[in-house]
Amino acid sequence: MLHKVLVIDDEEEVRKTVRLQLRGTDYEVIEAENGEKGIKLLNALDNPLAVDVIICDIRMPKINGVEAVAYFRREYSSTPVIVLTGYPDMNLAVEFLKDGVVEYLVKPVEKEKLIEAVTKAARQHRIFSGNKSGI
Amino acid sequence: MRKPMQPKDVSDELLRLAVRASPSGILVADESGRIVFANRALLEMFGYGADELLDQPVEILIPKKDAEAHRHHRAAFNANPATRAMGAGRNFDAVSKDGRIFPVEIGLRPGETEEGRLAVATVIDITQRKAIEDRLRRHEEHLEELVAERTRELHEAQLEKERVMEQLIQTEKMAAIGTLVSGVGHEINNPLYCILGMAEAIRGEKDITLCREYSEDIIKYSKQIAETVKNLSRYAQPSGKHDLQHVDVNASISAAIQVARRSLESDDIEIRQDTVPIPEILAKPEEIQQVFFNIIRNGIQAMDGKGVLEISSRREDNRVRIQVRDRGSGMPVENLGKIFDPFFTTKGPDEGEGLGLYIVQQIVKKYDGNIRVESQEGVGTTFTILFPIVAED
Repeated sequence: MLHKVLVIDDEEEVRKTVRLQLRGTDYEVIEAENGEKGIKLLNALDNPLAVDVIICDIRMPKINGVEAVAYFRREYSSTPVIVLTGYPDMNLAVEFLKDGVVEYLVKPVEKEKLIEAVTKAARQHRIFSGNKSGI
Repeated sequence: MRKPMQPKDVSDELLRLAVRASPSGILVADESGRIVFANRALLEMFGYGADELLDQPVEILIPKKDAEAHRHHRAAFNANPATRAMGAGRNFDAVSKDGRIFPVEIGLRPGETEEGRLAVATVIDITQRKAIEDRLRRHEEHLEELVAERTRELHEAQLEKERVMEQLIQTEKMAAIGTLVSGVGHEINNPLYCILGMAEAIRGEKDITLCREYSEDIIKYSKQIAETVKNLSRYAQPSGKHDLQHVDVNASISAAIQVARRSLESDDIEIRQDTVPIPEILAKPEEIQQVFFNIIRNGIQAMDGKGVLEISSRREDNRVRIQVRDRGSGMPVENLGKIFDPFFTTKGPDEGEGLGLYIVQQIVKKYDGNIRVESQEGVGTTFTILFPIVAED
């Protein structure tokens, strides 16, 4: 069974890279180009648990990553979030991790590391959502 | 009352009186250079008694070093007698009985008499006048030295001012770079991540068409990183290293926008560029870019994360006019007069030292430009900058 990963990043190239890195795994990538569209996409889904992992950038137009992640943690607390950013900001990383973000990844991230983080997050989702049939 | 006298009416007695009363020395010598008459003033001037001087060669009154030359002058005078002033305006030395050498001015007049050709000389001791002249000359020289020294000091002060200004600009740039670092992280790490992802994809990819596509992506992202690094190092370079150049103001605006965009805390700021082709100006390109960067950054900070910043360029007679308008919070009237003062800031401690607009004004002034600001609270602020254009041939 394929698990859904929502990738929110304003740069198409970055979304393409995530897609390539997760190609051939159990994860299917759906994309949104900013926080606002990501939230809309999630809200439009019938099943809030349909997305297994959210990968979110920080600096984006409209609703930025910090606001979007706060929203996801509040409204979709059982959906694990991975932050994938170009900024190595320790303070921000600590804040995110305290807030329940699974991983704070600074680009460039190797394929294995991304898959590992997504797998870890998906497992967390499975435990929280009680979905024992997953990976 | 007596009638005024003509020279022919002057009696011998009167002449004798005049010669005796004259404060100038009067000396008469014959053709062979022997002294045949000396008045009282001359005897006192040289310290001789009348009997000591009469019948002596005139060279007795001239320092030894000049005596030979004087004999030649005398021979020349005899060959071609003419009235003239000797020593006027130049040093002409005489020597007294006790060996004191002193400067004199001499008037010389030939005269034909029954006793033969005579030369009448008037002698004025100009020791005091010379002393005053020397004092005046020394004073003048001293004044000239003072002026030269003051000029040198002013020149050094100007150089120091320029050096401090360049340092200040560099410091400000470095502070700005601090805020740029996170932006640059984004600019470099994003394409780097894509390069990594594409390379990984190629490694396991059998489809040659896809491999080519990923390779093209890698080349594109690599160039992107190189461009970012190039722009940043160009910006960070000290401006002092460049000479005055013809500067394309629009290109400077674009470069400043590019650098400013990277330091944006929010991507919700829109920068609109409304530039038209305008003539070049003569300046250091880095400094002009710094002017626009500082004003743009100021505008961005005034808009608190969201809004539109408009930059326009136009030609206005023999100047170019650049306007930067933000729709930020605006400024109260009382602050308008202070915004170009050094260290004046209304921002938080992390948002600058308050030198940005001061530097802007200094650079604009340096190039004979002009800057003015209009602001309305709650509406926004507009900076207008004018630079003289390079004279067109």
